[in-house]
Amino acid sequence: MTNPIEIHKHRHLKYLRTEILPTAFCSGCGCGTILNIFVNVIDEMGIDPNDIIAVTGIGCSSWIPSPYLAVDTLHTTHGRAIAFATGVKVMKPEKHVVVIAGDGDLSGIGGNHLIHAARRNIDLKVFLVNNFIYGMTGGQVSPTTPKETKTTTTPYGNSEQPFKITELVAAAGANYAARWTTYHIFKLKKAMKESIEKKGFSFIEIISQCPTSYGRKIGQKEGIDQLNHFKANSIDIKNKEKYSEEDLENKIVVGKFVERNRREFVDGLREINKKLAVSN
Amino acid sequence: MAKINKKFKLFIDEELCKGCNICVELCNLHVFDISPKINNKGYYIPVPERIEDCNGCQICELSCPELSLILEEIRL
Ligand SMILES: Cc1ncc(C[n+]2csc(CCOP(=O)(O)OP(=O)(O)O)c2C)c(N)n1
Ligand code: SF4
Ligand code: SF4
Ligand code: SF4
Repeated sequence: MTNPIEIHKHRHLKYLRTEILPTAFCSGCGCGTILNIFVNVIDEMGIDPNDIIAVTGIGCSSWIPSPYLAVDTLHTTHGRAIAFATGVKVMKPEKHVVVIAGDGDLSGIGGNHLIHAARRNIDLKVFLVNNFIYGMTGGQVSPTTPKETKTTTTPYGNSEQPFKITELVAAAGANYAARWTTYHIFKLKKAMKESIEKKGFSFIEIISQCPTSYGRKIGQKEGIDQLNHFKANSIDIKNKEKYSEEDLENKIVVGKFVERNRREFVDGLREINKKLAVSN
Repeated sequence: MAKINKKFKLFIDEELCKGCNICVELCNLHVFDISPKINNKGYYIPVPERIEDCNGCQICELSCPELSLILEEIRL
């Protein structure tokens, strides 16, 4: 029966630190949607939150795991999440070690850690939230800001070429690399499950909306405006061949870029340990 | 805020909703209206006015950035 006084709570709030809700995210920010999808995934996969260690850096996106996720979290310095996560994974290989952080954090100041972790193929699940900007600090240009965009630090337009992060991570050697957006909720959910199941470096670039520090500057004021933009400008990787490189310049190529089974980093270390134990 | 049809219930958790309208705009079946009244947190929250049209696709629930939209299936 309809009861207007009854307050209903989401069944997945049990995975969050509810005492600090509502989130500090701006209204319509994609960070919350990613949080929503991630807890949906751990619920559907039946993962015990005690088996997850979430590691993050600095930025709005870094707030997705910390403080909101009610799991063990390491909130580290800017750009260093993967370095800390590497240590965690080597010592606790049985845990799901998940890194969620921004494009500035993971591909700017932390870019070197990202490519080398992919090269080493360490079993981390890295979800890079690409909102094209340094959101938290007010909208400075980032390594992913599209060309010509006016930001607070590129008032005449960005003259630089942005990183194609998923392609970079795939080329560096990751076992899994995909790109989706916060518009593609079901595809993103499936990719998160695949990446958790996959052993080795598993990476998803999640294109996400930042209405406050980015959307407003490009005439997409509300979160939904950017979601509509993602919908209209995404091209499935399966159809990529139909377009020239020029056509693809301002498009978002979405899909799974790589899935393979290279030897994982910690397994490699253990093999050496075993060999040494035998020869001694 | 709660509305029920024969198969689905939709609830908006007013303590968490930030009135972003993502659910309103993404629902293909136009189930939601925006409340004409501002709530005590300063947001115009969505109202599932046409709940009878809801097919339970979950787009609104999974897109909501605040986990403030709750979709429940009525099991008979
Ligand atoms: C060593 C260091 N340099 C700079 C900063 C300032 N700072 C805080 S957050 C941030 C950028 C965050 O951007 P991003 O990682 O893309 O996350 P977003 O806020 O966009 O989600 C910067 C430069 C810092 N905290 N530490
Ligand atoms: S500044 Fe941008 S990324 Fe940060 S909470 Fe606001 S909308 Fe989200
Ligand atoms: S998507 Fe969520 S936060 Fe946004 S208006 Fe709907 S219920 Fe409120
Ligand atoms: S479940 Fe689907 S049809 Fe029902 S209100 Fe949400 S988006 Fe609309």
